Amino acid sequence: MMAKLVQINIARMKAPIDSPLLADFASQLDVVNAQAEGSAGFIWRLKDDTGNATTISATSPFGPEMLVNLSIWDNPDSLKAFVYRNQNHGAALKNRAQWFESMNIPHFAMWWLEDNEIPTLIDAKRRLQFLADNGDTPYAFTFKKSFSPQDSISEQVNTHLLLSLADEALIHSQRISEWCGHGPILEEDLALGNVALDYLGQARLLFGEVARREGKSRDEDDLAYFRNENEFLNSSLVELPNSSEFGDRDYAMTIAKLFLHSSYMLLKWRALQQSSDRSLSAIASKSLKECTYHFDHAQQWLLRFGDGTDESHSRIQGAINYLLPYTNEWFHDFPIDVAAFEKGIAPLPSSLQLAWRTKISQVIEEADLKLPEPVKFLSRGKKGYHSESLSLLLAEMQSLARQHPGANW
Amino acid sequence: MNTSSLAQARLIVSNVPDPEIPAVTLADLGILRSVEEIDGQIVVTLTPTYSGCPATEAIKQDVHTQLAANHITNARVQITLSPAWTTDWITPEGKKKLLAYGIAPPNCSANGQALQFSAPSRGITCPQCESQSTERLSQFGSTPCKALYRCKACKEPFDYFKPY
Repeated sequence: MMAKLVQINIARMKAPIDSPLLADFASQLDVVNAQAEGSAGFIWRLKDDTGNATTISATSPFGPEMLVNLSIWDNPDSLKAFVYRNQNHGAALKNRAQWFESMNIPHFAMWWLEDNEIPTLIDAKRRLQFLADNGDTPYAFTFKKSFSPQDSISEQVNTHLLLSLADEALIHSQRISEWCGHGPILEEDLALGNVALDYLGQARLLFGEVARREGKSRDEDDLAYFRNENEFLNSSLVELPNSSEFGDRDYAMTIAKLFLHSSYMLLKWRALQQSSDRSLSAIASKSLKECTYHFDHAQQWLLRFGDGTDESHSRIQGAINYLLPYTNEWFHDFPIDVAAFEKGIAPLPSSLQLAWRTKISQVIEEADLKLPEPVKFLSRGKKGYHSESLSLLLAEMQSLARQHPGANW
Repeated sequence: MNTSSLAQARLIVSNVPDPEIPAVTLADLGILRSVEEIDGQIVVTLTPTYSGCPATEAIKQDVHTQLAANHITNARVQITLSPAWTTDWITPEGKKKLLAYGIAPPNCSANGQALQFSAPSRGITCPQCESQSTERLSQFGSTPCKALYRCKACKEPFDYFKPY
């Protein structure tokens, strides 16, 4: 697959796009856009039904007063040729100050597209912010310093992977801890509290490692409490609520989720013990021991439910049927996963799938339950695309820290 | 700093009680990896038990407090994760103290059968009446490191320090 370059360019308008002040600018848009599309190396640009991107501003994450231009090119040279050598665009550049406020934050950034997914403004905003904080990096750069598509992935791969594991543990922990004080019996209340605590401990170790490597002023709390949902890299399954058609907290749903997830993490932690990243390997060795108990616990309840009453059987089967499509994401080789595998940091996700299916199908069969046939559905929580469930979870989890920044026990 | 003060620091830290189970010391539990003197500073290295165990923070604090009470203020406590702590590191003395305190110590090595799934409650001795006839109430107890058991002979519930 040929690498592709994404660029974002934003401009804060001095007046609305349909105002007299911007009339001159607006009248040139169609011509300039058409010439951009005709330029060598142009691949795609974000546009609305009118062919421009002006109406997109109304709902964009940058706010309505910001004009956005998001496009894909084959490489920085093609983009540069259009930006500086196209006459109409060059003229527009010169008159910039008439129409737009000057901004003291970066308004332009480029990065290599990691896969064939259409870039989003949310991602673009994240990258501009990163550029503001860190200068030119493979994650977001300018014409001052270019990076190759290879640089782009290998620089981020370790921290991205650690952050993804940390988010997985944190969100799972938060969801499970909703059972505190609501467990079906006292022993289960304690058990789930303990499981959630293990996950929280793992998350802290991982966030601490990410914070140390970033070398910025962010600590583990900043990573947990001051990132927004699109910045979280947990798989979608862990954010799904404990609820079902049977109520706000369905124990079968939680047990099915813990069963599917701990059996997967068991294989993953085991493989990560061999990671070339020594900190990750150390965390994996600890987490594996804890995960063993989680799996054991979930498995025993799964057997009881499956082998229990008609009610318990149908609820646990329903939960498995509902959750199983969300497990596809765990075994999908996203480009970052391939890069991690090539660096010896992590196993290839797809390499764990067969062992996992074998492991769970043994228990599912013993519980007199059925493992549904695989489907093609692919959730993309690991890429930052989340369900509304995560927003609600974060709202609850982060509200105290956000309302009282720096608060201490 | 001379050798005797390093030896003193080592003794003090070894005897810091665990905040959750004060019957045993850090040395008994095997979470104290080393006490060294580096560039005139006492460096204490600990290995945490469970990832989420809240006692880890308290232990760090207790080490500082105990050293300071003995006029050693220039100390640093560091945490190392690898190799991971295991219940195999609990000393024989520590196991005796756990038992006397009413907590059944791990009955097998963490490397091996204990991590096989669904280990039945065979061979776990009641710390009260020493009966072998015990049953597991829950794999998870009052702290991350313990499971909850009950003795079928004397009917008393008790904590079991599970293999890890």
